[in-house]
Amino acid sequence: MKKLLILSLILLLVFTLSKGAVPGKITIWTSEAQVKGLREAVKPFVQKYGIQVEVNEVSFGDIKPKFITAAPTGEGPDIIVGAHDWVGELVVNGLLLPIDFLPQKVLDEFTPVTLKAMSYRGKLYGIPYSMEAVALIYNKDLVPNPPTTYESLVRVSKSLTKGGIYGFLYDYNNFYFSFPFFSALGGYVFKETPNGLDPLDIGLANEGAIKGIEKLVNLFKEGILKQGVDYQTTTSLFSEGKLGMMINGPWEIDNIKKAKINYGVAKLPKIDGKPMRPFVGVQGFMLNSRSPNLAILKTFAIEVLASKELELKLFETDPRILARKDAYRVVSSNPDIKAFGASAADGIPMPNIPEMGPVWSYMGDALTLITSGKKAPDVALKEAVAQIKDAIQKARK
Amino acid sequence: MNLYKTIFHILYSIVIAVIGIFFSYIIGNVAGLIWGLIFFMVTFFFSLFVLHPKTYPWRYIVPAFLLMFIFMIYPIIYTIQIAFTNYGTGHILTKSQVIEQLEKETYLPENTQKYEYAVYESDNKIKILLKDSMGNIYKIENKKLILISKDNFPSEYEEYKLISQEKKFSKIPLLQNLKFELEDDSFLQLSDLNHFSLYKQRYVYIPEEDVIIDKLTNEKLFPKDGFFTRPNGEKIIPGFVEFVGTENFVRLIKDDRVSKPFLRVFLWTIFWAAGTTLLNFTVGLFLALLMNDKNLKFKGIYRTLLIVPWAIPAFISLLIWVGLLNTEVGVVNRILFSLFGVKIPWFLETTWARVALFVVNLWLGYPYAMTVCLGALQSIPEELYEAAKVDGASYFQQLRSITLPLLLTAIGPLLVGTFAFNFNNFNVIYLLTSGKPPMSDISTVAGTTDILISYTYKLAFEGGRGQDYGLAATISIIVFIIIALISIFNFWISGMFKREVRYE
Repeated sequence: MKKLLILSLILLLVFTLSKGAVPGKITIWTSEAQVKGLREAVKPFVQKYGIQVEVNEVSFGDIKPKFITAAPTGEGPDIIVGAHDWVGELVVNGLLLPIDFLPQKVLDEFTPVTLKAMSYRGKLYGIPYSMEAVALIYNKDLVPNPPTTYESLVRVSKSLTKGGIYGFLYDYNNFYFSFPFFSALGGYVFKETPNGLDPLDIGLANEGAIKGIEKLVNLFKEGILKQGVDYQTTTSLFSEGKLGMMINGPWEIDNIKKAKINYGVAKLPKIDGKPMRPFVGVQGFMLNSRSPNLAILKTFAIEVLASKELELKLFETDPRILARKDAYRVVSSNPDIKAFGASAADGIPMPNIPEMGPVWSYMGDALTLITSGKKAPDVALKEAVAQIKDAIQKARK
Repeated sequence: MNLYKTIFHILYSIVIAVIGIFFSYIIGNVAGLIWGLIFFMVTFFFSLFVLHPKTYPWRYIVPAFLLMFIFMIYPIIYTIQIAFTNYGTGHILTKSQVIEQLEKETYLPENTQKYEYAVYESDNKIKILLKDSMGNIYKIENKKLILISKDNFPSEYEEYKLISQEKKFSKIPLLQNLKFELEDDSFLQLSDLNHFSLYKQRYVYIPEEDVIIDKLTNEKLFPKDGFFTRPNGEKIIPGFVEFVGTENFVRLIKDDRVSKPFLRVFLWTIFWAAGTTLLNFTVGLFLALLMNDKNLKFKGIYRTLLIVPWAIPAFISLLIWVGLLNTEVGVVNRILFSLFGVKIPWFLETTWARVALFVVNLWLGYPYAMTVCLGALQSIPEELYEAAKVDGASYFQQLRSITLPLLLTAIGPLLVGTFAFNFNNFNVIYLLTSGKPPMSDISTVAGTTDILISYTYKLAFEGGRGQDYGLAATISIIVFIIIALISIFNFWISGMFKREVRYE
């Protein structure tokens, strides 16, 4: 009996593994949130051409590694729904089809930052459908009017922080959430060139970045930020109603609603009159360069993937900031979407080149050293940038 | 009776043979012909073993060997193989796959055109007519487009019948493989569902010279460092996997990011593995001695409760511990603060982060130690204690002279195993501290609680540019060698190789 069970498990594994692209049929891998909307949205195409479209659910974290393993052997799907920061890695692995067949007229409909995010070395490799960026999420019962400047952020937070209530917290050792402090006064990750991003021109220890991080350190000096706070701490305190403001993204809204917090979303405050610019993440469709259905895919991409109807269909089950301007206008009556959209409009696409790997780890370490007071911002940042450059140069090209 | 047995054996081997052929086919497809053949041979012999009474014992040995090969030997061979290649981000396709992909790349010739098309069918054979933007209809013959009319597509063409617009798309799997070569090296191919377009192939591979020629720029691209490279040094992506010899080993040894913190990381790894193993077994032994006491009531309940940490998946309990030990809002610190007015900087200071690791791994590891010790304790003959009591030995004398020595012979090998396991206990380190806090005095990717394996994981997967499987494989070989040496030393020092375990 047990043998039989193991055997059938192996069989199952073999069959699930081989659920890749089939000639004459489109296979899509996507995470749970988009499955229903996609199945709905492809119906007109299926009817018009009689070509089957199969939408398979794969958990978000598995899509990229599975695709990298499956695509080279021809087992990959025709299309994956993924995040733009996968683009660089997938392109250098030779797995993505350049999207050079979309008419300019269609491209003009997209918010430019989304197209930029999906491009690698000047070529487009994905069709964006939504984007996201962090913003200031605040508890209206504690903070009636969200601060618009750094100074008022300090004032409001300071007056709130006492007796188990915190004014302003966030996951500050995570480079993703702290990037707005770098970017406000002129810090950047990689310099933009006409040929794409230059991985050896890093602006995370320039004057602007250091000034920005000094503002972050100041929040500790003022007693606003506390040691040992991470993502979990922040969100659980906010859900308990013990936190006035946090930097967080649209994915957390569901939990906040469930906790029945009277919340609002606002743009991040300005530092010295300059906006704090968050990382923008873009989700979209990427096409398998080794797919046997390239001709079908091109029509499918133009008629379905890049269409307003598809984005609106996906919005019904999974509300996000839509990438097409006309679709976004339809849904921007939703106040959360509008606020996060405004924050994203200030944002910078998160670099999608594979050289981003060491940036995450070294900047995380640098932030840990800075926020725990072990190193001064300028020292820690300069060292980290030197290490990142070293790592990138030593890595195999 | 014997007849039934024979029939059963024959049926059994048929089932195995069928499964074997099926899997051989799949494995042959996925992993290559050789593996398929090997698998086929194995199932073939296995069926033989079942049928023939003389080969009876092999029936049980062969599957065991097979499983050992699949799950232990093969991964090791594969890892060693990878260590000598550049497999990793940017180099995951084979050279032939890269060539195949580059040869698919096209550019549009100057006289490019898009044609609508119509499909004609007769007896399952199809023909295609094309229409350009001016409305001219062409047929393709002898590598040429020949104008046949200036009207709409005819409803019949050389006795082939026109397929309606809707049904046309059902032929797509066929149509998308069509490629009509024309005279000037260009070709017509389905470009989207409604059109054929004129293309030219951009890259052509010449096997004799092992170069690719770029037809657009007329350059020769030579394979170099896992890329086809233009004369000006520009590398064409994607790169391919190739044999790089000992390059990974040289890189690892030369890299000062490895050599600078190596000694520190290594010492902490030894300290960690030895410390946590001793701690877990001390606590486990203490609990086992309590559980073994005959005067203890409700043993079953205690035992069950004490096993609980083992029953919860480590991933979950580790993440819970991260929350419990949070400096600001963690339960542990809240309790400490209300009792003693202190907040311990778990995970922020090296010492406390290490203490946290020991404590949490104790929670995860003592049930195993306790179970093992309990088993060993129960196998110690009762007469020894009785004899000791007659001689007037105290409890501690019994413990020192009977229990501990006999216990050690039984659990000694397990201690070595646990040591090796903790030496490589990636989960606990990575999920609890991720190696943090960072080393503040030397610039390195290593943190102060990083052990060799978590540190090298960072080097190979977070340290550079995507995933460097070649480097990772190299590192795991080196870590394997280190562990093997330490284990041999451990076995040697405890005399495990010489002594046989006896219970008389």
